[in-house]
Amino acid sequence: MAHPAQADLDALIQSLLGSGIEFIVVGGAAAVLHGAPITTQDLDIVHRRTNENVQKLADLLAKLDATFRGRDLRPSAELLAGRGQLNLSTSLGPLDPMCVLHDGRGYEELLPHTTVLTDGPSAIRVLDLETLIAVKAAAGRARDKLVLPILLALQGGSNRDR
Amino acid sequence: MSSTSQEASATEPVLASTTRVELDPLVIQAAREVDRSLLDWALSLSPRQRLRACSNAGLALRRFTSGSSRTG
Repeated sequence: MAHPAQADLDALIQSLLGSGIEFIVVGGAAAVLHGAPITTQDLDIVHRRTNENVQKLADLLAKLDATFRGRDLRPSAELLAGRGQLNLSTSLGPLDPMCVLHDGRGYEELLPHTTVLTDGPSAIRVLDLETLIAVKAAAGRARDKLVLPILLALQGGSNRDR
Repeated sequence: MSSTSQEASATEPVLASTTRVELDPLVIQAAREVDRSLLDWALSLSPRQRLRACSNAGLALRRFTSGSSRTG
């Protein structure tokens, strides 16, 4: 059965949390979590690359029937433990586990620049707004530039409200 | 941070705290012109509600752009 082209962001994150996987939400979904009224098709995460965590993620990906987008190739634990970005298609939509961000920072380096958003029993670790703005600005792609004004307005609002 | 009072806006705390990042002046101007009503709506939702709203909007956009809606 074909995988959906639009990620079910909530279901994907709940699956990751339910599997006990340590990860940080980055990218467009991080902007959404901070309150940006935008759309994004995929979920970008940076996962912790300990053997145990990588294996948990690999097991979940197998359960979600994950393959590389456009290729009938399944991700391996070895790749998840490396330094690349995996663009995957899953039964819950596109999921992109990133071993490191484009600037080379992995889970451990990003951890001090995250915040945890709670919603009922769910605790979602997400890149903090300031770092997200810096990452988007540094990426320099048109689609990143488009969301920057919204993130800046959100940051301005949250500072103003303090 | 040094700035003129004319430039004072809600975005300035960001410019002070987002260190070592060059922001395009057009991006800064656009941030000043963002309609806050939509931000206020999104912020009124819980984090999971924001995720679901995003996915639902994405699905609706996809249906719209694929031309699957009927026009009668």
